[in-house]
Amino acid sequence: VRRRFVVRAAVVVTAAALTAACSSSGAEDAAPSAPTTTEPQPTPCEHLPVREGCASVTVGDQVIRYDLVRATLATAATTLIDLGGPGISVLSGDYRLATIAGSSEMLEARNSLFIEEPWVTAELTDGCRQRLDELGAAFLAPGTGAPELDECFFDDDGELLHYGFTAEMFAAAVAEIERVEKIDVSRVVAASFGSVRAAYLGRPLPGSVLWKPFPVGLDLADILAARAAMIRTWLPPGTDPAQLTDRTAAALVALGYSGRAEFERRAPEVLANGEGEETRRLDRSVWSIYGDHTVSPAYLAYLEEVCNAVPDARLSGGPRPDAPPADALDRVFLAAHRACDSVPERSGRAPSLTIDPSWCFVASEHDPVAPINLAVLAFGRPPTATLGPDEPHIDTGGLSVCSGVTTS
Amino acid sequence: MFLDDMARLGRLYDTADLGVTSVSGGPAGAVTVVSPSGYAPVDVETASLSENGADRSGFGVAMVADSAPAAPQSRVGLGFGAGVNAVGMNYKSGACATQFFTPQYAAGSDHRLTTCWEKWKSSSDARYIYNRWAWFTRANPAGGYAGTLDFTIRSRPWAGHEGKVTAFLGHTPAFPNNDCGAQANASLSVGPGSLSIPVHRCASTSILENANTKSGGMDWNGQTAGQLFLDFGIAINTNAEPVYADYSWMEVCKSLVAATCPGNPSQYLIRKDSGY
Repeated sequence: VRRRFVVRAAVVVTAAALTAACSSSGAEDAAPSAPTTTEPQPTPCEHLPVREGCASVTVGDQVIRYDLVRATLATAATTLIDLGGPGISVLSGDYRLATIAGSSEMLEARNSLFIEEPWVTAELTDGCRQRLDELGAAFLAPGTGAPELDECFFDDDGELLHYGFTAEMFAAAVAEIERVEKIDVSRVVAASFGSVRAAYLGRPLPGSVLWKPFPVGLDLADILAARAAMIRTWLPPGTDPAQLTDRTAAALVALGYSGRAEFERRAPEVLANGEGEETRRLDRSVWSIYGDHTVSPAYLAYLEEVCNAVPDARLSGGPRPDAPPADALDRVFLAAHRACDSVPERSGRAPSLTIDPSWCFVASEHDPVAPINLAVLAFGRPPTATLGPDEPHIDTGGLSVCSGVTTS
Repeated sequence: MFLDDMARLGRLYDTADLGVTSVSGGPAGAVTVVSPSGYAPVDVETASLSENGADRSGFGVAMVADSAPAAPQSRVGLGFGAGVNAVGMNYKSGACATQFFTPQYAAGSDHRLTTCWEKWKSSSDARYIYNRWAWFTRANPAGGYAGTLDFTIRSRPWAGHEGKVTAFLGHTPAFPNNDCGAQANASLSVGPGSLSIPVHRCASTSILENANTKSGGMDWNGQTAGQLFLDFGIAINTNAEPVYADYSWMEVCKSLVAATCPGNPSQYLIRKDSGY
């Protein structure tokens, strides 16, 4: 064996930076890959790398990936931990699932199951990619017409495409995972939109947790109005909501996820500099925009599930007749949900969830994502525990407040 | 593709925050690195050999991050969801880069490596966890067989910044493991803080922990036409924010059939850490 050559290549930074990137990746897309007998078919868990334990089941035509973090001592007893969304990539490694699974006494001695939303691995048609690009441009230039998204929800044969769960798909996936893994999902920890996933299951789940829950069964118009109202109460004194620009309002909605203290620290910069870099980044994040102006398919998952989880989504063309005149905060929420009209309507009832006294129900006092007053209305009881006004919606620490509360 | 892949992982990058570095020449052909500004290749090594009529190539890229690489937009969207959960640890910074290597054989795609890191700081003191991971897929040959024989990732303090790391506190995975399966999880603790490291598919790996150089790494050896994934974490004590350099090394063989691909694995290629 003869070593032919060894080269240390020079590093050159090209000026035409991104065209090089596109040609490189484009070559991969465009080149025909001749079928060979040696090419392994990627497993579903290799389709896009995950950074958690990963396995998959198939229900109907849909492959569902999941991570089952098993308890130290073998048991069938399993808690489904749903971190909400829709539009999160739960196996990305960013959620540190093992840390969550070990974060509370009530989770110990049980397996923890995390299920990934279909959008993470869903393939997009060229037409849908184009619509998402146009949609991003429309979001960034309020007042311009947004494209219809029908091409994203139907294939060429008119078959439905999925990015989020349907109730049937979710329940079937859990049943199949139970069969394959020989486990029994008898509890949920339902964070935020996880409450809707708990409703999909349609089974009694005594001793479960509702964590800052999405108010299952309430009208979208009321939920959005309450979200906007909470953000208005956080504005610095003297700020007139009617004077907010659409971009500033979108940035403030994004800031709302970080809790009141963080909102109050960062909002003045956004308000003072509506065209600044901070505002621009927050604006893009609320619309899930990446690249130049492409909307992430996470948004399709959001639309598919949220628009079907509420009774009134297809009435979302405007505020209620008795609502105050729309300001920019209202307009941000309306713009985000206008595309509900493109989402295929599901047959059957909207999901509903009844919780018994064994559930631990936790809400935070000021939550502009899942307002506490709506959660109390939706679930018909006061919270087991109320977290303070500075609690960020996205924080899942503190599950131990439910330890000792659950009894089953 | 980098942007699309990152989006599926919940990381939304602005085009303006990305840079592309091309590396000229070399027997393994052109190397193109797509990364956020602030995380860039500093050295590239390529090598190849021919044995028994089969071409084999190896290539390594060293990356270094400054203290504040461009960050993706927060993973907020409009959804009703939860966020990252770490106990007693604060996320400081992180980035991924994707590297495309032109294969030496006719193929419908490039070799493709994505390498990522994250820095987490204890909320109560100056201890850090540096988490590094990467995945590699060799180019799909137009005919015959191609397989990956070696995939190694290492990280150590960047030259000139060694003094910032005062002690090496731990490495995970903590020991070589040939049977850890696909469901393994490990965690690192620094005082009251801890972070789970989602160690994934770690069979046939060895651990490249070195307390003296405050460095860590993992080395996979075997033969596969599939995708490879490595992930490790190190815990360190510091007197300033540490700066780590990342190194990746892959070796790919090509032949008509799998059995003849590895050739003689003991005879070749630079494996030294000259790049970092």
